Formats: sequence, structure tokens, C-alpha cells
Amino acid sequence: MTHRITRRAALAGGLAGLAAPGLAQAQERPPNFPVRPIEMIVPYPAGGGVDITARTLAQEAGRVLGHEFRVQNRVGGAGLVGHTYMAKSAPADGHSVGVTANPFFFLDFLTREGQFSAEDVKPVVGINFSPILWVSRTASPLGRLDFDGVIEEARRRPGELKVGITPNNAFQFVTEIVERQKGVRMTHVPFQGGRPGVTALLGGNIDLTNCFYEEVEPQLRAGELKALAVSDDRRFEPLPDVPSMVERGVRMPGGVWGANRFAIVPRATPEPIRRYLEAGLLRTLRDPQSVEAFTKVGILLRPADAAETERVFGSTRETLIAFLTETGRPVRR
Amino acid sequence: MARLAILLLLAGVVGALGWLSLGIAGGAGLYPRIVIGAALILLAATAVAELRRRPALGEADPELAALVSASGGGAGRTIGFLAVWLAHPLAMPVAGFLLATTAALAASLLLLGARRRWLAVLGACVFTLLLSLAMRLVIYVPVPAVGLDEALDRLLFALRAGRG
Amino acid sequence: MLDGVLAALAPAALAFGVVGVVVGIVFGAIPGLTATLAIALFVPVTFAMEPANGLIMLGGIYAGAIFGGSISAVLINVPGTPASIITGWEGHAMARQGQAPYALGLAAVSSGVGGLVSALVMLFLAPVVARLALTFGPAEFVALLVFSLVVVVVMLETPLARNLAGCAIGLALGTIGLDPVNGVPRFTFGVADLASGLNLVAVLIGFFCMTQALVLAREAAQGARRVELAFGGVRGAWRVLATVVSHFRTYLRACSVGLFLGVMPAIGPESTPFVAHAVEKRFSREPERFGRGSPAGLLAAEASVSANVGGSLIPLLSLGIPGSGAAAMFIGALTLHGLRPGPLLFTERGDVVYAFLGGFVVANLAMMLIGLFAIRYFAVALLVPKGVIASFVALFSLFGAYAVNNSLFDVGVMFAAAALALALRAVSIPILPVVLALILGGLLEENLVVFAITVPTLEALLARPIAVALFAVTALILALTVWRRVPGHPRFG
Repeated sequence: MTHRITRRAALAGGLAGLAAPGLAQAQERPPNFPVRPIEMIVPYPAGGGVDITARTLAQEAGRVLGHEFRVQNRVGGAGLVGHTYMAKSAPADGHSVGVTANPFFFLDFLTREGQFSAEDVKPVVGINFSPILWVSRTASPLGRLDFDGVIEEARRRPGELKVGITPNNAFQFVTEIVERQKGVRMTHVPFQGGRPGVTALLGGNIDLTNCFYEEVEPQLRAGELKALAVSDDRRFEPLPDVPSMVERGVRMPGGVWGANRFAIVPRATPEPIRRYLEAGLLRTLRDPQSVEAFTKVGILLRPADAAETERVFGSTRETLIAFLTETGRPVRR
Repeated sequence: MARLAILLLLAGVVGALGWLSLGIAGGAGLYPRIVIGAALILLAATAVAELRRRPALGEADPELAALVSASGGGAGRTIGFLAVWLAHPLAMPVAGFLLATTAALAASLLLLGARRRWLAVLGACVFTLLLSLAMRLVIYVPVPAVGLDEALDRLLFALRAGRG
Repeated sequence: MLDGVLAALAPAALAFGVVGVVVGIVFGAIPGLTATLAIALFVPVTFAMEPANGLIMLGGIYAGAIFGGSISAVLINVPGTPASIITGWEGHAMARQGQAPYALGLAAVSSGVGGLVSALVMLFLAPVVARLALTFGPAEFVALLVFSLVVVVVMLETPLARNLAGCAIGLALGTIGLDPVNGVPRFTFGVADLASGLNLVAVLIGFFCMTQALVLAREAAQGARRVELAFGGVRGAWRVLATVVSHFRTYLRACSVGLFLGVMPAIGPESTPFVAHAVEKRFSREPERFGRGSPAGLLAAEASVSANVGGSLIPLLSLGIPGSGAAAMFIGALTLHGLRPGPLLFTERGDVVYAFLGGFVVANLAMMLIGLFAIRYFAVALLVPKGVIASFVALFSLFGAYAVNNSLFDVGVMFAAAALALALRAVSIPILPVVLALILGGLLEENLVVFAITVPTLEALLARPIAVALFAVTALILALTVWRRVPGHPRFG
């Protein structure tokens, strides 16, 4: 695990910061905390990837730390409402911990209407990273091809392959990165999330789609869908035979273009409390029984401490701004 | 006349949306312009029909007629009822769920002529407290918590910690 | 399979099923607390249970809440859950004719029949029926949505121009929020809460619950004590059962419509009774009774919703595609229990799936029995003074609108919707097409966009016979209606 974290830190262009679990674990519980259940605030609806992560974390943290955690969904504006709440109005007493994911959190204020910034919150822990998958349908003409084959096909028939994306969001950005670097053009078909795209792919209405692993895991196992590549600089553990995009010659930093889930608190949260939460949640994420509980719901943990998460924030932000500027999209800072 | 005024108001709101839709860049504005345009045309057709045969407000809708009629008494208390419930969500972030809801429920019951006043107030208190407890122990709804609610939260948390 | 189904008869499973039904009925019956909210609030509760028991309880809650909504709809004309809007329309009319127990009994049994039919289809035909969901691409979806809107618009007896105006207003309201092509905010005025559009549940609560709370409040303020409804004697279950048996074909049609719309991804139980009711009216020998207390209309609405509930779980369990919003919530519940809904679920975790399906059957039977034999106790609601009913309907309208997304903004949306509903009523623009258009509007635009991209030419469209046929039928219905109700005819404007 340390090896991986170090690599990520090196990528962030910073110092090779070694996570220091020993230090973090020594953190003591502050007096008079908590005085009521700790709320894990999720800006997405119940049942989604972030929500399931938060619910599992809440249950496991409750078991490991011996006090109650609850999950609160603040849904609206595709995350905007919950993010704004965490950054601007959640009580900064440590009883409100936001669980959300990048690049969606950052995109809300970089390209969308979010009236907040990354400075309004402080990271507590990094939870996991789930790369974006490119999948095709096994029974379709494209089903025989691997990633390179599909790119070749797209080059042969410019604009004809139909790929499912979410408009102006990570799925579309990854598609654009591949298109720009490989010099191909495909037709983007907009969907409101990964699952509708998967449905359209299963019905043969599009040729490939972007999605997350948990959205297609059963279909992959049943052999109905085929994973072409993952948007990372390394392979994704549950899919050891699927190449990473970097491996296939697409330049992209690791750990950015996917769902990078983490926990945050409002900036004004007292430091001892934040450190206690950091130590406690890290302990939970490394607890063998918790790891098993997360595996059961299909989540592969990549725990990271706050300093590490902060560094990933920095690299994510740089990458996003560079991409948005390059593609001529306005960036609000 | 009142009907025409309301129809104009509706058309005005829809028209305002239509005007705003002209400012939407790219293809995103096309669909709204079409449906809003259709709504405006159909509202105009409705207005023409109204002019031809001026029906009274609440015609064929006795419930509505009874609701908005000035006669028959109770208009003031109905407005009071509406005001109480409009004020309730505004009061919640300041006073907290327990206090705001108890007050609103009791006021609403008293306004609408509860026979035994003490029972209305007591009932409002007990009901709100039970609802609060249910929201903390069985189903979880994070209502605005200030003062009394936080105290209840702490009490339950302490009880639980003491037991465990 | 049999083992699994029989597992649902274990005492614990039975208890959870019945508890779920009771909780569902209570939630459903309270105006403002919707079926979806009940599931959302109880998913975490089931987290701690055995997977099969938790799912059985959720299934019971879902089935119970859909029926529960009909109780308040029939008795006080406030649909307890959006799926019972049409039931309230027919059922309350029946109640005013002194047939409340009969209407409630019919609702209970029809709900149960719809649920049982969908459970049987789930048990035996799930993989086949699930494929149906995939044959419907964007072209077919657009055709189906337009068809749904048109049948309801032409079915209503109010003037055609007003029905269409309502429909257009609903579609226009549906465009608020991020657009489906570029994710550009439309009509949001920089308010984050509006970016994902108006909260549908809050709007529906405003339309149907808050307005009715005001009506009740005015009546109470004028000194009316109780809801004036002759409850009649409970004339036995026999009359209900006789009606049920004699409406065999109605059930067949309603269950087919419900199952079919349920299987379609993203079409939930809210819009289904509109379509089933309109279709039934076309087939009925007494169409003039529809909307005025027609038992056939009530049966069709209620059975179709329940069939939809089961139907929406079919593609979920066998393909991993949720058939509705509430079904999407089931994905979360299943995942939290370590089950992955998808093509392998039946083979890998058949034990849990079949226990759940068995439990769903049990829950529907329990609901029928509770509904049929506990009707007399629901009448207690009529002993409560109107002022008290009005106050609690108002409180739960606020609470229900808030609790969907834990948002006070949505409470404001609810009040605005109530004002809009009153304005529309004042100018005799019917609310039903507004509601249906608002429910389906977002889906229609999303699919129109994908349709335009994936079916770019006329030839491509002609290669999709289902879509073409649906478009043709829709055009025919519309043309016939316009021709029959020519402009200038008083019923047009």
C-alpha cells in the first residue's frame, strides 16, 4: 500500500511523502467530542456509489470507534447542493463529515455554478479510487476488438462510432482526451449517468460507453459486456486483464480521471477534532474486518491520510484546469 | 374577469421563461423554446375561449369556489392557517424543528377551532416529540436542529453511550 | 426455486413481510409521505437484517405504500402517494356516492391482484420479459412517451386546447435544470437547488396535498366538523370479489399496461395509472362514468400501479437495470447486502432472489387481507375533525416535501406548486396533463436527444417498426380526436 501511495505522491509532482500511519493512530479523542452522532453528508442519492461507500464507512467507523455515525443525503443539482452545503453551511464542529468524490467536487466550482472553492474544506482521508471503464457489447461487431482495435475502427469511420458520455463531465472529458491524443472522432451520446448509457449499450443503441466498475460488474462477469480499458496509469485490481489507458499510449495522470472518493470537513473545524477523525477513519479503512465489508459491497479501498489527499487535490486541480483551458472551456477559479 | 387576469398571469410567467430561453446558448434552448411556444399558443386559445363565454371563477369546481369565496366566514382563519404553515419552514432554521413544529401545529389546530384548547396544545407537543424521536431512532430525517433538538440529540447520544 | 419461495414462509420472513406491509400502508396513507420516501428511509433500517428478510420488508413496504396511498385518496381526496392520484379521482367520487368501503375494498384487492400477477411474471418469465426492456431504444421510448401523453390528453373531457395547454405547461416546467445535451443550467437563476430541476415529489405534494389541506381548512374554519361521507355498512367482501371476478378483462389490460411500463427503464409507478385508466376508458362500455366514480377505472388504475411495482423489479433483478426510481433504490439495498443485481443474480444468489419473490407474494396477499378486512377501521379517519385533518395534512405535506432531499428549498417548491395548482384550477386547465407531462418531460427530452443522434435518418427510423407503429397509432388517435372535437365546437376551446 505504501508503495502505491508513494507513487501517487510522486505523480502529484511533489515530495515523495510517506504516509505515517503510526503518528495518525496516536491521535487522541478530544474532550467533549462527539456529543451527538456524526453525520456523513453525501451529495448524491441513496443507493449510488458514493452513498454505498459512505454507508459502509459509517457502519464500520461506528464499530471501530464505538460511537454512532449516520448518513445524510443532500441531493440536488448533480452534487452541487451537497457540495455547497459542506463548504458553506455545515456546522464546523466535526459532527459533519462530507463524503464525496473528485473530479466532480472540483468541477462544481471550476466549470459549474458552485459558489465555493477547495479552500472552504479540509481533507480528512482518501477512501478509494474507481477508474472510468470503457466497455463494449460482446455480441456486437465491436465485441471482438480490444482498445486499440476500437480506436482503429474509429479512425476508419470518423464520427460513426457512438459512445455514451455524461455531458460536460468526467465521462466526456476522458473520451475527449482519448480522441485528441489518438486523433479520432466519435459521436458523443449524452446520458444522465452511467447506468442509462449501459442500458443503451446492452440494447445495441450505442457502440461503447463510459461507466464505473460497479455499474457493469455483473454484466462483465456474465460476459455480456467487455471492458476495453480503464482511465488510470495502472490496471484496476478486479480487472487484471484489462489494460490501463496509459498503457495503451494515452497520456493522463493516475488517480484523477475517475471517482476519487474522500472525506472532508468544513475548513473551520477545530484541528484536534479533524485529526481525531482522520486517525479514526484511517484506522477503520485499514481494519481487516472493514476491508472485508467494503469488498462485500464491491469497493476496493485505497486509504490515504489527509496530507496525501491534499496533494492529490492539488494535482487534480492542476490537471482539470489544464484540460479545461486546453479544450477551450471557461474556467472559474 | 378574475379568470382572465389569472390566465394572463400564467401566460406572463410562461412568457418570461420563453424570453429567458432565448438567452440559452446552443442546442440546449431549442426544446424549451418549442414547448414554451406551444404553451403560449394554447394559453392564447384558452383566453379567446374565455372571452367568448366569460365563465365565473370556480365554475364547475365548487370546492375551489368555496375556498376563495369572501362570504361564508372563516376566510380570515384560513389565511391564518396558510400563514402559519408558510412561516413554519422559515422558523425551523432559527427555532429548530421541535419548537417550530409544536408552535405551528398548535396554532393551526387552535385556528381551525379545536374544541378543547389544552388538548390541542398538549397533543401538538406530544406528537412533535414522538415524531422527533422516531426520526432519530427508527427512520433518519435530518431536520434543522437548534436548541431543543440538539439537546435531545445529546441526551439520546449520552444514553446510548452510557448503555454501550 | 421452490426452496427459496418456501423460505419466505419462515416465521421471521413472514413477520418482516407483514411489518413491511403495515409500515407501507401507514406511510402511504399519510398524505405527503410517499412510497419512494418510505423506501429511502427504510433502506438503512434493513441494512442490519438478513438480506432476504430486509428485501422482503422493502417489498412489503413498497406494495403496502402503493395501496396505502389510496386510503386517504378515497376518504379525503388527498392522494397519499403520487401513484394514487387516479385512484383518488375515481375512488373519492365513489366515496361521495356512499361507497367508500366498496371503493377501498376494490383498491385493496386490485392492488393485490396487480402485485400477484407481477410476482408470478417475475418468478417464471423474468428473463424473457427483461429483454423487452432492451428492445426499447430511444426511438421507441420517444414514441411511447408521446403516446402516453396523447392518450391522457384526449381522454380527459375538458376542452382539448386546455388539456394540451396543461401538457405544454408541464413539459415547460420539466425543462428547468441542467439540459441533457451540454449540462447547461436552464432557468435556474443561479440556484443550486434548481440545477437538477423541480423536485417532482415536492411539486406533486403541492398540487394534491397542500391545496386539499387549504380546502379542508376553509371548511373547518366555516364550522364544518367532520368529513361528510356516508360510510355505509361494510357490505361484505362478497360484493368486492364479485366485481373483481366480473372485471377479468380489465385486470388483464391493466396488468399488461402496468407490467409493460414497469419493465421500461425509468418509467415509474407515478405515470402508469394515467395510461392504464385512459386505455381502459377506450375499451369500456361505459366511458362516460370514468372520472365520476367508475369501478372499472379504479380497478385499472390500482392494478396497473401494483403490476408496475413488480414489473420495475424485473429488469433490475435480471439485467441490473432499474425500471423506476424506487427500483433504483433497491439496487442500493441489494448492493449493501452484497448482492449484485444483474444477469447472474438468479443463478448465483437464487436463494435470496426466490425468497424475496416468495416474500413479495406473501406481502401482496397480506395487503389484500388487511385492506379487505380492516376497511372498517380506516373509517375512523372520518371521525377526526376536519381542522385536525387539515393541520396534519399541511404538516406532513411540508415534512414529505422536505424529507425527499432534506431540503427546505423543496418546501418552497411545494408551496409554489400549490399556488400554481389553484391558478390552473381557477381557469379550468386540468391538472392531470400537467402532472403527467412533468413526470415524463425530462425523460422525453433526454430520449429525444439520444433519438436524434442515434437515429439520424428516416431510413434508420423505418428500420424500427415498433417505434413507427407507436407513432402511427398516436397520430391516428390525435387526428380522430381533433376531427371529432373540431375547433369552434365548444368542447375544443
